[in-house]
Amino acid sequence: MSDTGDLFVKAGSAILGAAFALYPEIAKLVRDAKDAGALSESTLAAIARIDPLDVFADAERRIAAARAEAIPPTLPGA
Amino acid sequence: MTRRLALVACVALAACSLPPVQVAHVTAMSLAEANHVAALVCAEVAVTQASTDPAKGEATLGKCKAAHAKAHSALLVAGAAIDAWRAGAAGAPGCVVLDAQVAVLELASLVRSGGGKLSEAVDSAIAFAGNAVTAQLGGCKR
Repeated sequence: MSDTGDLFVKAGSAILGAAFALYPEIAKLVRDAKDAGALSESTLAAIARIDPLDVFADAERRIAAARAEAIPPTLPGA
Repeated sequence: MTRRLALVACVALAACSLPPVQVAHVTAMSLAEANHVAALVCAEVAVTQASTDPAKGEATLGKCKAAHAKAHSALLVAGAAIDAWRAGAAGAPGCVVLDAQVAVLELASLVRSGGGKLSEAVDSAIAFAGNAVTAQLGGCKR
């Protein structure tokens, strides 16, 4: 790597080091991921595991229940 | 002495010496976590609205699902690009990570506009992604 390229990498690392210091939550995530060996996991697999698509099923059920409660019952023969 | 303190701090953070490809991986993981958390809070906002106005709650839930799905798709694109980069493909995935960051930010903004409260971790993930793209992922030039 050229001296200039090396300088950019060093500058980038310094900025990132400062960023980690600013964001302790991210530093914790890194520590946890290192402990769990998750840093070598496929990124695609990690995303699918952390952020599943089906997170709204419970909310849908509760909103449907709220809607059912809001509709007044129809009396037979009414 | 200063150097020693810096070294101790780095060991405590366990993060200072990550190679760029792992920074990309961690960035994507933190954005995925932020997207998941924001989706759960968005759903709670919708359910709360539905208790007094079911139609409004349903509409909000639809917006939550659309914003979450958009960010999830952007994250999967970024994840695939990061995996390819790790496997030796040329070109840092700055732009696709940035797209994912913007999409998660949109969901977070939707949650806040509905009165939902998000944890600092969500904001940290979004801000950190911007730092990572600039400092380690080659920026984004289109």
